[in-house]
Amino acid sequence: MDINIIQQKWNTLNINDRERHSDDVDLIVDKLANNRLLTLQGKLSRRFLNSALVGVFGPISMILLNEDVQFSPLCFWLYMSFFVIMIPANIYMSRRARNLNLSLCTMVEAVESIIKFKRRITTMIVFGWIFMLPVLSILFLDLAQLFNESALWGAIIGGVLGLIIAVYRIVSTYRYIKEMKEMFED
Amino acid sequence: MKTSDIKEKQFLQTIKDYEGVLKRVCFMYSSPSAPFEDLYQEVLANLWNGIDSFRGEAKISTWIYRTAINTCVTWHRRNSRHHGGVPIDAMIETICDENDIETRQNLADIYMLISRLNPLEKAIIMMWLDQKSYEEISYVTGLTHRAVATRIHRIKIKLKDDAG
Repeated sequence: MDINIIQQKWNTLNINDRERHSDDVDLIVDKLANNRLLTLQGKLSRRFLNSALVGVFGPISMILLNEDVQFSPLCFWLYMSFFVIMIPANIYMSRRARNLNLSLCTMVEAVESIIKFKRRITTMIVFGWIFMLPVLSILFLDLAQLFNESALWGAIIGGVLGLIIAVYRIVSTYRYIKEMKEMFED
Repeated sequence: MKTSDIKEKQFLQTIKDYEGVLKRVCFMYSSPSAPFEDLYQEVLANLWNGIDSFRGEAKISTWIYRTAINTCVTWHRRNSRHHGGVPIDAMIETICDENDIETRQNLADIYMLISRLNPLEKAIIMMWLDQKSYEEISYVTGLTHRAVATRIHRIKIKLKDDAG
């Protein structure tokens, strides 16, 4: 189709139908003014913050349990270290998500920011899994000694399922990054 | 009147002044995985959050274009370009009066053509069709003037080949 015909069709587009959507716009703006609507970045930021807050219960529960159950020192300190590292990591990611302002950057910068952000999330997932596997292994070995073998098998199955999900997320993130980068190639 | 009420009133007026631009951008980037209503809401939210930091370094229409396109591009999902069997009529119904047959047909034709472009190409061609200058397109995309000109040339060839 000739570009002039496309231009003509474009010029005749009239989708400024105020009657159709004006109530919706008023409602959305009212929610924004009252902080009752979050952007995608806002929701993502909150998700990381919630993970950090929930993570606080990890060390607390270990300290309380350890008074009765007596985990091995290796298990106790590895478990605590995991949360000491991952809680601030989630807070950091929450702030990065919140500070991404799409109105202040060009499209190139927006895409680069998203790519960097997704890479950071993937790094956090990979690091989290590499750290978590020995923590879980030792924890459930301790639990198997204290209780029975089914705890250990449960951990192995859970770990394998979690790994599959993590690998799938990593692969889909890199596919997304590849596609975004290809846009800017000559 | 409170400051927040003034901001809300001014923002609403701005949105209504540029509603056509916003709807065109959101529609052209919409797909089953990125519905028009969700994109439109997200764009409004980003405009609201960013309006206090706009210092008049460009025209307000160009700034709105930039925010809307950045928002739509960051919603981009892997399958959003492959539309075999996508119910375009259903998508058009959400934004267009059912009696405006000419607009509906033109929207469908343009959507089918532009949907084959990548998100960057969509942004460039939409702004070019809206007769934005190379400078404005550079402001939005971050590409140099020369890169914008080259891309426009290639997009025109691509659209001509795709449409037959």
